[in-house]
Amino acid sequence: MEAISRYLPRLALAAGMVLLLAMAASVQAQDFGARLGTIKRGGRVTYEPTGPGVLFDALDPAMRKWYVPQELYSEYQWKQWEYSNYARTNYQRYVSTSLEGDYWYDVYGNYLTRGWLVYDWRQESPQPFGSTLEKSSQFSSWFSSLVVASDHKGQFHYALTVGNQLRTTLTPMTFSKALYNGLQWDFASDKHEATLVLSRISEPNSPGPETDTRTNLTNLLGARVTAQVGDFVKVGGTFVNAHHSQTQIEAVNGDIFRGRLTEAQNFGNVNLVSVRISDDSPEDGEGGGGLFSSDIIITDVDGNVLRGSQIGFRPLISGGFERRGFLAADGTEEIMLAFDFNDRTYSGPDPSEIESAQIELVVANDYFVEVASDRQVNAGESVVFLPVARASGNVKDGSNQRVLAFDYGLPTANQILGFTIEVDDLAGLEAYLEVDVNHQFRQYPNPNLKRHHTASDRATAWLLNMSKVSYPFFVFVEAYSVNPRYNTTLVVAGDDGVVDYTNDFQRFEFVDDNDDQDRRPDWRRKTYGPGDVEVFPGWDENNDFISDFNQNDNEDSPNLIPDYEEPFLRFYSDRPEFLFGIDMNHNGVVDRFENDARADYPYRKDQKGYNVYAGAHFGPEVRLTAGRMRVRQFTDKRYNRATYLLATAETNHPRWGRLRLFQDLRKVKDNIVDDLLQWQQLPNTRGGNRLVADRLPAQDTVVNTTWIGWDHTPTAGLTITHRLKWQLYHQLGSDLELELRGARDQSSFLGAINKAEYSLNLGRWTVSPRWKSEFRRETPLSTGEFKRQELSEIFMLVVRFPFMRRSFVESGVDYEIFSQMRDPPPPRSNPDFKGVTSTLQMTNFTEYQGYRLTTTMGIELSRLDFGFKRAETRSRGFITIYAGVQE
Amino acid sequence: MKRIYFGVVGHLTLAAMLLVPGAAVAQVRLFQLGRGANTWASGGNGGNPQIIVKKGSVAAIDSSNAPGAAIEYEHRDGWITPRFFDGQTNISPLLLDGTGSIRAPNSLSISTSLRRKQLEGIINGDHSVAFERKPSPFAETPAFGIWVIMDFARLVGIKRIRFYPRNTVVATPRQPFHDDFLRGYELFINERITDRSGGAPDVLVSQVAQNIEAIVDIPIEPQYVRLIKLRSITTSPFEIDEIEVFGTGYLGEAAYYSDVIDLGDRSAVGVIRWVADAIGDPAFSQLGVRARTGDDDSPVLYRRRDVSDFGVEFTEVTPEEYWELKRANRDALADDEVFWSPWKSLENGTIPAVPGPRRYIQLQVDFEGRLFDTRAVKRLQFAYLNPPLADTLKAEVFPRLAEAEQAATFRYGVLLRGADDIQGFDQLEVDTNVPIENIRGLTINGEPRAWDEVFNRDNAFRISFPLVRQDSSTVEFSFDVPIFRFGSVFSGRAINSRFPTVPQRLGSGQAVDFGPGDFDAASGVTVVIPKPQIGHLVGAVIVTNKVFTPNGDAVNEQFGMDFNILQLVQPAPVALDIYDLSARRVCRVFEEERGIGPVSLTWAGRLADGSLATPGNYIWVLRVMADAFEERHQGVLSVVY
Repeated sequence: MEAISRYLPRLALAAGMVLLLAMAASVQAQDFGARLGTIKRGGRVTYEPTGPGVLFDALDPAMRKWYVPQELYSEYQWKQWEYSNYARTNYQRYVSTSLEGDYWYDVYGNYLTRGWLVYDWRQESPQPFGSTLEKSSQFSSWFSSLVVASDHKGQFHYALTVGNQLRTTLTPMTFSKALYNGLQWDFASDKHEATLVLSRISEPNSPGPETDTRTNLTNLLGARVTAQVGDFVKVGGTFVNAHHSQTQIEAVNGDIFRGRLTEAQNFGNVNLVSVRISDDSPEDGEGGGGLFSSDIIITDVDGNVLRGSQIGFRPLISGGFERRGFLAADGTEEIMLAFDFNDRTYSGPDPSEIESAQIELVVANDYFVEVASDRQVNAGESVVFLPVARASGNVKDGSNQRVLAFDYGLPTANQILGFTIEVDDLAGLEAYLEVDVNHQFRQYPNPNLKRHHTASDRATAWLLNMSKVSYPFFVFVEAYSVNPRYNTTLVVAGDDGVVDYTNDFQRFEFVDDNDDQDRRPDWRRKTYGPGDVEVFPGWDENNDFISDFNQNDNEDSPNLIPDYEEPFLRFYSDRPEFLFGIDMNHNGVVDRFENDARADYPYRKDQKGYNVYAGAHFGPEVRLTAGRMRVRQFTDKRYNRATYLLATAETNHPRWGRLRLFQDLRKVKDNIVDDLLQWQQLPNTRGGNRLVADRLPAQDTVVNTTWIGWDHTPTAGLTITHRLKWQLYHQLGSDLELELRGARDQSSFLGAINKAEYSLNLGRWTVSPRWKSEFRRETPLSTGEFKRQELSEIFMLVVRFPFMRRSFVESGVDYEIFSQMRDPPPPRSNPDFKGVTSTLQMTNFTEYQGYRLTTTMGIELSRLDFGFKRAETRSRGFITIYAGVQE
Repeated sequence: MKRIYFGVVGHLTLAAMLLVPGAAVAQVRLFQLGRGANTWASGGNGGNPQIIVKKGSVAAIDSSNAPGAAIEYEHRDGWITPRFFDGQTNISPLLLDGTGSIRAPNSLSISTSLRRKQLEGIINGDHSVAFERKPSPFAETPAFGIWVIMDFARLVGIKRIRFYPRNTVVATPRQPFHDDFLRGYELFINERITDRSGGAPDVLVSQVAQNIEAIVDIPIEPQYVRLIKLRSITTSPFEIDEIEVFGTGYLGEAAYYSDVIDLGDRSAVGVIRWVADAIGDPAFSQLGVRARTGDDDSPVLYRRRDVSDFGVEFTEVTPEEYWELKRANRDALADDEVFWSPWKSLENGTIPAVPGPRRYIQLQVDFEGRLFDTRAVKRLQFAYLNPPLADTLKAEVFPRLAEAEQAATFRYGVLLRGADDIQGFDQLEVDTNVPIENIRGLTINGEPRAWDEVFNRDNAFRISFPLVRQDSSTVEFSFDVPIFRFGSVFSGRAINSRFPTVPQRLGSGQAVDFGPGDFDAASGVTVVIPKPQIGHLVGAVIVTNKVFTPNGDAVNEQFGMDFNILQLVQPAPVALDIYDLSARRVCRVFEEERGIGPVSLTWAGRLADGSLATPGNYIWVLRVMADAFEERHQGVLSVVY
């Protein structure tokens, strides 16, 4: 044993040498001819960097200058002293006979390739401008900003992807971006998967012609690992961290994931720490934040701890109503505390010797606490307050009195660590559990220190989904809790180190807002400034990026009339009011059509609760569901509770057609505000996103929604469609309460659409008579809005006859009789009228230069007769040519 | 409309006092704003208010009483409200005042000065000047995509926007450009800044690609906006003579600043009251009144900034000198935090918690509301005493840390400082959370003196004693009271019985040396409990007669319970329930809202139906149902016969 241990290092060394020799031998010279590389004895070409050697031919003791035969000798046998005569062999200009590009070597000196630098990202410290990133013009022009390197063997696969616009998701609560700009490394085997995402998110591109170099930057590191455990369970872990970095500081200096103060953040000492206490629910005007006492605990660089109250150092307090024993910030009132280290009452350590400062407040009621300092400024040098704490619920009696202590610091990093468990079809059970812990790090600035005091806030979020199907029964449970402080945002560092806390364009989001699930995030943030101005989730079922309610609109030919109001098109398009679906947040908008301006977490932040439902299938056509939900808001005394009963039925009979029924009856108590940003097409516009305030229509309410659809074809060519929607909000609150809210006891919508279309072929002629009847009766929730009751009867006749080979003429009449059933007509609504639109159009299809030309020409006449005034007539003539590609 | 009147009693008291013959008559004065010579528009006939306003990064002084002309003096005679627009008024000229602006950021082919002149011309009613996008021999002046952005820098209610070229609404035959109207446009509004932090997307209210109307008149649902943005979507040259924005309703926010009121000399300010009125639904509007006091007539610090080899030096100068300085020598304007107090919010009918006595005072009235829901203020008044009771009055209590619930003896001291002529005081009123006990040992300057208890209520007590008027005089006494909450503040007021309407607030600080443990730096009138005791709503529950015999023999007849409610600042529901051993509630003994302090409850063994409980063991459950959580205590009691 002793001999073995004595010779083991030597054996290891020898083995290593053998291995290196074997590897060296395996490096094959590449044949680019003598033009490239160094020709060794025996004709072998190598590209390894060897440095100049000793040339024995140049050792002659001659005085004449020795010229080593170089490139031109190799290519053209051109020698320095040789007479050049081009009589027989004409002179030829130099030509590039091989590939362009440069030689590239790795850190070991291994020749890599000859070519172009496409992507290069490095970070070196400590040194100024230590972060360099280059995406060359070839990256964007040759490879369209996407490069993939991959390999696989057997079950093992990996790929390294560098791109400007990657669709990347780790988990929906931690990292999900529509346009991720950075590097992604993925590995997959049969039972394991792993992903690593890396990006310099403060500037993931190299905008200029040169390499982009930075001293202050923000980096992102994300990772996810999953492992299949047995046949049904998959466990996963997720880590996402974004942190500021400063390359003048050694990288290995503490925990890099906690970040570093940028140069601008750490440019000077903190001289003033300000705390602002306000009312977390200012709308009620009472029970706002209460301040009972305040103190500051200062730790100097030597570790001495000093309490402000011990030396008579007290904050300058302004604002607040004086109550017995405390100051109150009710309504819009604010309490400001200023701990000024330059104040004459301050006798603690000099600001340049302060390592950390902890603020200690005794607070109660519905407080919202923010902090700032003279170092916490935006790009305009304005002081910015950042939130620290807010009260749970809307406490007004002081029962939540607590000591709130927090270390002051500037944000340096944001991190999420989480795990997931997925169960897939375990005896019909499906489940998904995700738990995430968010840490937001901050550091106390002091330019005299190399290491800064770090503090952090922690917030958790979790969600659980479980479903079990045991036909005919099914059950579903969802529960969640997303702390209001859970945060997937970090304001990145600018080139000069300024962290502009108020600039949304400097805000990097781990989880994007992309409600319409297209390729563009909805909001305007770092790495994607333009945002998405056209967001209408659920209204683009044909995936053409155009609202299904204004299908004939485009940039070149804007259409300002929604299809359901446009002659002829309105036969196939019904108003959005006739849409139906589930509205679990009870804001009056069907959930699948909702758009907001929040990160797309599966559940809303600042809420916790559960929803459970169970039901049974009664045959393949009928399903009954009963459920109950309870949701509570953390920071306010608000809730969303409902007990509901759903019934759906769908039957398809060869004779009677397709009948669908949806019935939703629920008792709701909801006062959580769910404002939306909904796409609306106002008159004379192409549409846009407008803020739709949640008017809390179901604070204590029974809500019924019934929808019936029946489509049938009684005879060949005749299609009949019926739609009925009835929605009722019956308020259970007292009359006084309703009066204060300005709400009606009962609000409702009753709408019915009946349509019939017959298609008759007479030789080459096609005749299509159509009828559409639309009835609407609406009683709005607000007493300030007027009731409506209208009936619209529309008759159409479209005749189409082809002529020659590629042309046809289409003639149509659209006749509408509109009946205003309220007397007098409510404001902004039409009185009775009759309208007719006649159109004659010729269409031609021609193949032309590889394109399919579609030419339309025609004339349209419209007449609108309100009865009480002279009829209005409009005319329109048009000749239009479209060039399309062959389908 | 709900009218709120305050101050009638105060008024009568003051009037009566003014009639009382004696030395005090000349010394208590009444200041009223909104009445007599001190009309709202006059600002109180003092020095001009000096409000620092920022336009971009430049700070300036607004010396009007209503910055941004945000206050309406005429709409309701004698009252002030936020500025009101009747729907017929063109409010575009407001952009020329205050912090508003009009811009055409991508209108680049004309000089800045010309563009500025043209833009001002389209909002000032001058029909000879128009904003033009027409080609000239010198510049192409493209017309497509040109933005005109009007930023009111605040929320204004609008209901209509109209724009047109010259020679249309007003005939200008010399400029017959009535056909040069905007042939295609988009009109956006926004109630915030566009898409910046705290901003919002613009809302498109009208888009007409092929406009044929020279006078474009767009009705808008009455609403608040901050930005109005007009964009041309035509390549046809055009001009705009005027953009008229018709305002409606009240401004969403407005502030009124009184003048810097000179009280003649340092003065104690008594109760401040105001008469206010709600217009529309009071739930949607708010009124805030604030005050600040000062020792000089300028609440703004004007400083000259000089850079020398030794660094930067600052010298305080007068406003006149400041504005004559070169810009580089003007230090940034800032509130004077040395000679002026910060703004302090007031509540109607209370003494302002501002430092005093001081010679100058300034008042601010803040309005917040909706288009047709706002507040109006008719009168704002206060009495002041000149000379005051003292230059400074400091009070402190000792000890300042006490165990919760434990009855403790506190010593209270007041120090009077007054270098000049002062009135002195002969009464002290001290705030408490519960009635105190056993006031004793009153001394003045260390000498025991006679005293009387004027009253001793749940929330305060008052004692009287011989007049204290001499500089550096101290008044000390002791009392007993248990502490029930972190932050029990024994704040107080000194009163001179000759001028009872103008009490003077006691400052918190070092007044008397109470001996070891009384550190000057920590002196004050706040008593705290140890922080670990925070978080409990109920103190120790003391149960008497855990086993009782409700048989009418007058012995052990009822179950008793004593405890203290702690911490609450508002009463919360308290309930005592009796359960049998099968967890069935048999009786609710008590259910009532209670605030902090002692509570005693008894149960005589009667059930909910009035019958006597059967012998046996029962469980009592005490619950305090506070907003944040419900605290429960429980135990076992026995009924025996």
